[in-house]
Amino acid sequence: MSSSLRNLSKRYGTNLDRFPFFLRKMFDRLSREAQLPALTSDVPELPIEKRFKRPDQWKVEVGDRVLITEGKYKGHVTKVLALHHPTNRIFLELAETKKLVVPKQFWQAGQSTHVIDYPKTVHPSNVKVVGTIVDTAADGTERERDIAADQLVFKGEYWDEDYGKMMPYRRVKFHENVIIPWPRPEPEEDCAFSTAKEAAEERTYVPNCLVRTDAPENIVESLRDPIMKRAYKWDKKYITRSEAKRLSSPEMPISEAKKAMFEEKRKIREAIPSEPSVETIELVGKLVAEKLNAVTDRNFAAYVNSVGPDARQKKKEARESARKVHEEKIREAEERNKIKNRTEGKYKLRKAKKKGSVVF
Amino acid sequence: MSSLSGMRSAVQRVSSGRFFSTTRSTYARKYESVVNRHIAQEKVYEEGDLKPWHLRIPDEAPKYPTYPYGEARIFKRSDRGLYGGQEIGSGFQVSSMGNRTPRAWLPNVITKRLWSEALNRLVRMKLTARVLRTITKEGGLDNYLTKDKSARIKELGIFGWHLRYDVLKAREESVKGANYEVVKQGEDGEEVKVYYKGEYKGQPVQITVGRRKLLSRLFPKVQYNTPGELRYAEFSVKHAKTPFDEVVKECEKFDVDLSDVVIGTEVRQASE
Repeated sequence: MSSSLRNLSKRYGTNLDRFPFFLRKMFDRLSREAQLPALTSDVPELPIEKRFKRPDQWKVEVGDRVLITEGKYKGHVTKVLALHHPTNRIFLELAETKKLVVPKQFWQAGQSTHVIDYPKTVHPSNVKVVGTIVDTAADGTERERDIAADQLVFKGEYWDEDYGKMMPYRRVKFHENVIIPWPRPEPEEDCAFSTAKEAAEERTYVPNCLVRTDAPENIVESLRDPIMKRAYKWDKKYITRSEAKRLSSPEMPISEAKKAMFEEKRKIREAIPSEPSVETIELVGKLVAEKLNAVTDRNFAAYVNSVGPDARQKKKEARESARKVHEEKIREAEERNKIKNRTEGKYKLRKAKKKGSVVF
Repeated sequence: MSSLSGMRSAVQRVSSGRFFSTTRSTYARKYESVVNRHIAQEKVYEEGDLKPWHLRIPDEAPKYPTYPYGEARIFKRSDRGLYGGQEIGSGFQVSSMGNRTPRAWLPNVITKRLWSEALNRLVRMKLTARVLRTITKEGGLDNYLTKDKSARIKELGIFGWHLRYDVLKAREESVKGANYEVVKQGEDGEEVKVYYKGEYKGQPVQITVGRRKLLSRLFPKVQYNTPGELRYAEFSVKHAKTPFDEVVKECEKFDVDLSDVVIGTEVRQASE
C-alpha cells in the first residue's frame, strides 16, 4: 500500500473530505447509483458545515402551522411533520407525493403493494409561519385571527423548558412586537435505559481549592514517556549566564562628535536658569504690590493676606517632602525586589536539584 | 521689476522641487532598498529569563553590534564592501529606431587599499567610485565611517558597520592609553614594561607583568589553601574586577614568589 493511500484511509473507511470537489461529486453519484431508489432522497445531501443547526436557521419547528407558498398546494395551511436534517428541508402533512417502489423488508404494517405514495420534502423558504393574534373590536368582543409572517426576525432569547435550551424570540419583521411562539414539542417518554434527570444533574465532585489541583502530585510525569530523549518543549528552562552572554551583541561606541553634542546639550541645560533672578522677582513684586495695595474689595484683600509672601516657600517644601517620600518608596521597592529575586533564585535552584524539570 | 521676476522664478523652482526648507529634499538619496529591510527590535535576554524552546543559542558571542538595517536582500556583494547603498540598476537600451531592449548595469566597483588612521593599517576593500569620492571629501576613511548622520548609517552596509565598530573601538583604546610604563633597565638601557609601582613585602617594587599573569601565579597558592576543588575559571571570574593593588596584597598574603617579575627601586635609581 502506498503511503498516499494509507494517508487517505481512515480506520473505518475513506475520508471523503480529503478529496477534491469533483471527485467527491463522483463518489456521491456512484453511491447514489448503488442505492435502491426507495432509499435515496430526490435532493442531494448537504455537507455537514452547510446543514442548519439553530432554530433561527430553520425558522420553523415540528408542530408549526405553515402556509404553503409554492407548488401544487399553494395557499393551503398545514402542519410541519418533521425536519429532514441532511437536506435542510421539512416534511409537511399536506405535500406532493412521488411513487416509490419499496422492497418487502421495508414494508409498513397493512401495506399490500410494492408501490407507495411517498411525501416530498419542502424547503422552509417555501412556507410561511402562521400565528394567531387576538383582535379586540370596538364593542369589546375578542376575535382570533390568523396571520402568516412574510419575513421573520429573531431578537432576544429565553430559556425554553420543553426544548431544554435557549430559544430565540420569533418576531414578525416590521411588527416586532408580534411574537409567534414556538410550538410545544411532544414530550419524550423515558425508556428502561434512560437516566433520571435528578441523577444526571446531581453534583458528584466539588473541588477543594481553585488554586491547587486534587490530582496526585506526579500525575503529569507519570503520563509521559519516561525514556523519551528529547526535552519536552513545555518544560520551563532558564537562560544561564553564558547563554545570556552569547545572545548579547556589543554596543556601538559613541563617536566623539556625538559626545561633544551631549556635552553641549548638558551645558545648555545647565545654563538655563531654573529660578527667576533677584531683579525679576523684585520687579514683579513691585508691580504686584502696587496692584494689591490698590485693592478696595474687603474679601479679596482678606484672600490676598491669607496667601502671603511665604506661600512660594511652603509650596517648595511640600514638593520637596513629596519627592523624599517618592524616593523612599522606590528604595523600599528595590529592597523588596532584591529579597524576592534572591528567594526565587533559591527556590528555582532547589527545585532544579530536586526534581529536574517540572511542569506547572 | 527684474528682481521681482527673478524671485518669482526662484519661488517656482523651489515649489517644483520642495515646498519649504523644512521639508525633506526630494532629490536626496532615499536608500529605499536599505530602508525597507525591516529588522525587528531584538529581544534582550538576561540571566534567569525564561528560555523559549525555539531560541537558538550561538556557540560564540557576536563580535560586532547588529547592523540596524540587516543584510542586503538583493545584490548581496554590497555586504562585503563599501557600496554606499548602490545596487544593480535596470533600464533600457534604446536604439536609434526607439526600440527598447532591457538591460542592467552595475555600480562602478573598484578594489582599493585605504589607510585607516585609528587602526594604523591599510584596509583592503571593494568600494564604489562614488564612495571613494565621498571618502576623499570627508578627509579619510575614518571620518567617513564615524559620521553619525542617518544617511551615512544607511549607506555603510554590514562591512562598513563592522569597520566603524573597529575604528571607534581603536579610538577608545587609544584614548585610554597603555596600562604600563616603559622603563629603561640596567647599564645597557634595556626597555621594560612596568605595570605596577608600589610596595611588596614592605619594599618599594615595580612589577613587570600584568594582572592576568600575576593572577596565574597567585592561583596555585589560593587553590592549595582552599578546601574542595577550585578551578581556574571560577577563580578567574571571582577576580575579574579586583584592582591590581589588591591582587598584589593577596600575593603578599599567600607569599607568592615574584622575584623574577619584580624590579627593585635601586635598579630604577640606577636607570635614572
